[in-house]
Parts: sequence; structure tokens; C-alpha cells
Amino acid sequence: MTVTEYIFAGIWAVFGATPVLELFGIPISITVVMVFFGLLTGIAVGATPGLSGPFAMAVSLPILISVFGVDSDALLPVMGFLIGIMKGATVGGAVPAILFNTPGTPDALLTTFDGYPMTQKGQSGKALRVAHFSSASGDTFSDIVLFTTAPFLAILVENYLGFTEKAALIILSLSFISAVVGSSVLKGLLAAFFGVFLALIAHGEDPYPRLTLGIPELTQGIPLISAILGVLILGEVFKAMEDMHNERKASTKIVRPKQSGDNKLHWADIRQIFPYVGLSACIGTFIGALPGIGTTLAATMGYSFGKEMSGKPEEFGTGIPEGVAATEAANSAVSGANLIPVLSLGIPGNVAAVFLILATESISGFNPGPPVFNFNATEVNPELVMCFGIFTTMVLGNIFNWTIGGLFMRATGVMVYIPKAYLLPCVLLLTLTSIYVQDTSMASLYIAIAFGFIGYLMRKLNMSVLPFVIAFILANNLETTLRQAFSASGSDPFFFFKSPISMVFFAMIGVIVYYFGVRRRPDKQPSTPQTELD
Amino acid sequence: MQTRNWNLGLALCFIAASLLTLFVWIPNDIESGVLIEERRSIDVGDALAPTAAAIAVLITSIALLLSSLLANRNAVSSEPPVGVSRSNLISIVTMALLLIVSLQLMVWGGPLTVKVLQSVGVALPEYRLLTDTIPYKYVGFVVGGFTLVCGLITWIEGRTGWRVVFTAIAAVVVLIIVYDVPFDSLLLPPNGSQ
Repeated sequence: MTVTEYIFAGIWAVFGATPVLELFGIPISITVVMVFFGLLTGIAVGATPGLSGPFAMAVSLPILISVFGVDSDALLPVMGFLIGIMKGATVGGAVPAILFNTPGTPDALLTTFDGYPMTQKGQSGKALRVAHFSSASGDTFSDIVLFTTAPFLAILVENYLGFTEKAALIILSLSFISAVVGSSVLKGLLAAFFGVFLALIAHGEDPYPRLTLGIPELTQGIPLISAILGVLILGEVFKAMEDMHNERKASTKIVRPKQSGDNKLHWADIRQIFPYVGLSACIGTFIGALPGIGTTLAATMGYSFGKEMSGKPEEFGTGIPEGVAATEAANSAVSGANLIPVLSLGIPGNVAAVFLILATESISGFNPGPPVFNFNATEVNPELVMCFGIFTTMVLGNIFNWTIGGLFMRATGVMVYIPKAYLLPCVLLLTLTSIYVQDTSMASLYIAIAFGFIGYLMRKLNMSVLPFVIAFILANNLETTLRQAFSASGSDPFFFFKSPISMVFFAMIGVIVYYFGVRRRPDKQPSTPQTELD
Repeated sequence: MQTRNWNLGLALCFIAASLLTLFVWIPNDIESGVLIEERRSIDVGDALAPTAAAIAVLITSIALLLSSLLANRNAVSSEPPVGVSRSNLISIVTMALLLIVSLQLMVWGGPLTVKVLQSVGVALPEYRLLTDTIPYKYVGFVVGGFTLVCGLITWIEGRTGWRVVFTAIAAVVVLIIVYDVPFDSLLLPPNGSQ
């Protein structure tokens, strides 16, 4: 099959799937419907302070698996919904930031700097329209970069890297994530190695499952969903509930200033903000392509560079559309580029990507990584068709975002009135129920809660949970690749040092650890808070 | 306690855990060794990867210990303040207790209801056979879920009321509608483990 045929096969896999309804006589496939509802869910979740895209992805994954099953037919509807959430959440996060000075998602903190002052001036409608335009532009640009970059990167990896180099690449990615996330490289590395160790429990080649301490519940290993949802979601919920318990007397009444004057987005406005959108989209895409660096840093950099570029930095923070545009384009441009390491290398770079990887682990027929982009297969490569199907769902998500996303976004302002103190216990019950329906075992719940407290303690001790989670996911893949590399080298214990590419990767690890661990000064830290669900 | 002291404690805990793992856990709980010789060829044993991971944890912990020891006691740390205070411990214990009580109510709510009904003369089989029968299949989830949501909101807010009760009931009912009503294959907790 030619490249064009693969692209059309991917598009057909999305639009030609089982139709669930007809619109003006046109059959609409289930995948299209799922992308649509995923986007709306994402916008609503993003607009709700206390929730985030990954929360929604985590709790919807078990439901999606139950509805669609684990056959390869389930992949596109499930991924479509999750991608819709991912895209929607970045748009929705701006709503409470602009209307109520409350960031819906951590990366929207910077949006409050100019968005809320615009609302105070009676320009909330214009601020929301600017945020939507910038967000959708950044996201679309990032997706285009993904579509054009990921296949080339994957082909490069597949052609030039053997088992040894691939193992070194996984170690390099883990080291990079450990170094850049959080404020201590050593704690990041410690979290990653701890994650690797726990993931190795039970998964060996001997008939006796290793390191189970004779506990029958561990003979299949630590359940992936329980561990990841425990550390990422429950840990965050425990910490947020404690914070609310401690700050309960500080709650204030939410007041929304009324709109006045012209609140439409005109061509003149678009021309005015376009350079900021363009610059921030490039910054966000670059940041997103690097594993481990979150949307908050992209938003911070987009805002700072926009401020520099404007020539009138003193006006930033007083309520100008350029400030909103610079932030929103940057944080939304991260979402598409985040999938570059996922699809081309099989390495998740952020929390949203973790849940996309979990979906592909649960559903058969698609294993993200370099082999996906094998265009020279003698027969049809179904994974490549699926990959172009995923790209199609992303384009579809953008089309929905451009058309109805803005309208829905402006209607979600009411979500901020949901009290967090009532919402988070419900999210906790929802997460536990989601874990149970997938594993059908109370032991999975106890393990999830135990990992939740591990996640809570890690946050308290300033140990980043993202390296832990990504290491937990990649550990068994890393071990298998190392075994293959050892065998392929003829049992040479120094196989890593025989490959120049792997030596380069190890040198890069040394440089990264040295730079971020020894050279980085406190004043180089990002000034905005980052959360683990960033 | 200073950030430095917490880092020291964290490093010492991981050093102790990795040493125990390397010298006690791995040798006693893995069948094959680090490397295995089979038909004149050497292969990787099941112990290699965990041993490498434990050594990596040990080395990183020692580095963290040394960096914490070498750090100036009075210098301002580049890290945000870390540590677990007495108030944090009280919060952890409270949340853990609420979770334990709620999950136990979830597990035992159904079987106990059936036992009580049997004791007053209602002809019912054992709970295991009723895990797909309304209303018995919902009893544990409703009681446990209600306790969890109600208890946590009350703890966070420091007060309770009809709004809290209504929220807890609504949360449980919505989850039943989302997970149980449309899907025959899905089981709410604890019905798959009975």
C-alpha cells in the first residue's frame, strides 16, 4: 500500500465505522460521535476547578473498555473520546480563569493575568473568544507538526536503532523526565527507579513469579490501573481534600462582573493577536515534544516571550487580549506534540499520554512505537491504518473545536459554582468504582488506595510522581529490550559500550543530570506552580 | 523539621530498603539468579533487572544523602519546603479510617442485610447468589459509597447537613446509573469478589 492509500484507509476507518445515527441522511460513525462527546466532556471538565483532563480520562477509560471491549475495533472510538477530552480540557481550563480568576487547570493560571482583568473591564466575552481562537490555533498547529514529524522520527529510530540503542533511549527518556519534572533531579531519579522496581514484581520468565512475598494477589504483578490511578489521581485527591480541610474558613463568594460594550472577535483583533498566537504555538509545540515538560512551563514561556515581543511589557497583566492569546496558544499547543514521543517511540511524556498508552495496552491491535510506521510491510500494516485513524480523530477534534467548541466553552461558566469540597469525594468514589469495574477485585481497590497514599507522601516530600508512573509503565518493556540486546550481543555484559549511539545517549544522560542537578540554580526554576496532573 | 532533614530521612529509608531488597528479598524470592548458564550460553536471569533497579535506588539514595549532608544547614534550599507534619498525619489517618470503614461497609453491607432478613424469616439464598439481584446487589455499594462521600465532605467542611446527604445519595445513584444499569457485564463493588 502507498502512503496515500494508508491515509485514506485511516480516514475510512473513522468515517466508515458502524454508523450510530444519521444527520441529514448522512450516516455518522461511532468514532465521530465519540470524538464529539469527548471534546464536550473535556471542555466541561476543564472548566470545573478541581478537575482536569487526566481525571476525566482516568475514570472514563474503564467505562469505554466495558462498552467497546478490547478488540481492535474498539481502538478508534476509545482513543477518539480520550483525545477529545485531552483537547477539550485545555480549552475549558481558560473559562474559570477568565470569568472568575480561578484557573480550571494548572496551566490556565497565566490566563488569569490578563483574562480576569478583561472580565473586570466588561470584556469577558471577548476574552473567551480570544482564548478559544488561540487555543484552537495552537492545538491545530501542534497536530500538524505531530502528523509530519512522528512518522519520520519513528522511521529514523527503526532504521538506525537496534535493541541496545532502544534500551539506552528508554533510559535517556526516563532520565530526562526525572531531571526536568520537579525541583530535585535526585528525587526524580529515585522515583523513577522505585517505579521500575515495583513494576518488575511478578513479571519474570521463571515459572515462579518473582518478588511476590508469597502474596497471592501479587502473582499477576501490581495491577497497572490501580497503581497509576492511585498515585496520579487518588494521591492528588487526598492532597486537595486535605488542603480544603485546612483552608475551609478562607472560602469566598464567587462574583462574575457583567459584560459591557463590544465583545465580538473581529478580524482586526485576530490580526492583532496573530503574532502572539504563532510564537506561542511554536513554543508550546517544542515544549510538548519533549517528554516530561508540562503545559504550565509552555504557558509561562509563551507569556514571557509574548511580553518581550510586544514592546509594551507594562501593559501585560492589565487585561489585554495579547496576554490571553500568548498563554492559551502555548498551553494548547502542547497536547498534539505530546503524542510525538508516544507514537514514534512508545514513550509517554505526560499524564494525558499515560492514559492514551493505557488505552492501547488494554485494547489489542495497536502498540505505539517505531514499528507502527512500517510503510514497507509486504501485507497491509493494520497499525499504520489505525495510526492514521488516530490522526483523523485529532483533525476531527479540531474541526469540532473550531465550530462548536467556542459556543460550548462560553456556556460552561456555571461549572465554577460546583463546590470542590463536594466534588472531590465524588471523584474519589468514581475513581474507585472505575478501578473496580475494570479489575473486579477488592484487592485492586486496596492497592489503589495504598498507592494513593504513596502518591500523597511523594507530593509532601517533593518527589515527582510523573517519573514514577512513566517508569512503572516502561519497566517491563525496558527489561525485555535489555534481554534481547544481551542475547543479540552474544551475552556480552558490556553491550552498551559497544554501540556508539548508545554511548552518545549515555553521555546525554550525564549532561542532563549534571545540568539539571548541579548547574540549575533556584532562580532558574519556573515561577508558576506545577502540579502532577499538569 | 527542615527540608534538609526530611531529605536525609528519605535517603536513609531508601538506603535501608534497597539493602534489605538486595541482600534478603531478592535472594529469597527469585528462583533464578542474575545470570543463568544454559547449554553453554549465558542468559539473563529474573534477578538481574530487580537487582539493577535496587542498586540504582541505592546509589541515588546515597547521592541524596551526601548532597543533603553537604548542604549548608542554614542555606535557603532551592526546593519548596517539604515534610509531613503532625497535622498531615492526622489528615492521613482520618482519610484512611474513612476509606477503611466505607470499604468494609461496602463489602459486608449486602451479606449482613441478607443475614438479617433471613433471621426474621425472609426466604433468601446466601448473598453470593444474590449479587445480580436488585436491590441486594446495590446494598453494599450504596451504604459504603454514601458513607465515603458523606464522611469526606463532612470532614472537609467541618459540618454536615441535608446538602451533604443529598450529594452523597446523588453520587451513588449516578454511579449506579452510569456503570450498572446500561451494562450487564459490569459489576459494582463488591459484587465481583463475593
